[in-house]
Amino acid sequence: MRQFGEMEELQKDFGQEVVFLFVYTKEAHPDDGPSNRADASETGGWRMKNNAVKIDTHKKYSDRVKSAKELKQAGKENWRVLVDDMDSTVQTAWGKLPNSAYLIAPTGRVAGKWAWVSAAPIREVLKAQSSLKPYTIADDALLPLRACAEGAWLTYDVGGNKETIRFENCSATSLTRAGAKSETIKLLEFDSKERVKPVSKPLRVNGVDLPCVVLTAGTVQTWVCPWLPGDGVARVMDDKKVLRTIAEAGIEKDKNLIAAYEPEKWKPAGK
Amino acid sequence: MAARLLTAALIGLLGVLWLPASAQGKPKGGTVFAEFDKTRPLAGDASLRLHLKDSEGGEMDLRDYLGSWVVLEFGSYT
Repeated sequence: MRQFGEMEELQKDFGQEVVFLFVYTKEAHPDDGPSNRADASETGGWRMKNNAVKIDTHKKYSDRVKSAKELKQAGKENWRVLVDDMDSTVQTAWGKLPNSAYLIAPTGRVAGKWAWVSAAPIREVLKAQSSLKPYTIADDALLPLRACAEGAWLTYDVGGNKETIRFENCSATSLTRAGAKSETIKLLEFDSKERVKPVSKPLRVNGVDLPCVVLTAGTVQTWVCPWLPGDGVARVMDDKKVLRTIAEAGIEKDKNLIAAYEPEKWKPAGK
Repeated sequence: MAARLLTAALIGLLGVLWLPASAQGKPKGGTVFAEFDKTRPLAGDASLRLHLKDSEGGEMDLRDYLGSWVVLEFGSYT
């Protein structure tokens, strides 16, 4: 059974400025699992005889949501508890382990990772920062580019024509944007003490509401949506006329990420 | 004699420290644990995509929190 304590203390100490997320994935010790550790899968999943919390292997997404709610009520009240899909896609992508932890910097880059969660090293990194105060795209327009992943792409509708931009050679200090005009962008360090209140609006694309921040310069409005890869520019308008708008976007080649996310419709393989 | 005993004790201690994780009672899946530190994303890498619903049904993408420090923990109740 999960022991609440040091991570919840960490949240109490830093939760005003730092975001705390918990990804609820497959049960580490399901009550209907094998009683012998040797019979368990590679990353765990065996029955602990005297476990005070008894939960069977999740059969459907709603089972996992129910367990996530119970965990939140039991000790993670102030955390945002996320529910992994039934294929445990997120857990697998992030290293497969049953109780790992990551610290993500404001640039969207990994600041630290731990195979077994432990509050002490995370606390140490956070305490070493001169400021933990959050900022947004309204403060730093380059913010989405700082989290750039190589191979990310955006396709726009420009006056009825399709135009695709790809991002290459992404690093913490520069990246290349290839498309109609190729350019290398230097990412200078952001160090503003000021915080601007962002103007936030949703943009509906392919039936999906993308949360965006609208930046205005003169008559030009630029809609930047953090969910999108690359620079996240979703729409550019001049004097209320749409110059370009996002049509598709992805991280992997030809795989569009603008699609409704419906994990509750999961069906076991072969059914 | 005392020196020999001390040497033997030191060799024994080093032997225990060098035992493979499985022999020290570490969790099964040692390979996965060993690979974790070498598997992307590594420190300094851009985060992977993380788009999920929360326990209340609200949709979230990790990129919602660009500009903030984020602690990300994986686990379950059991």
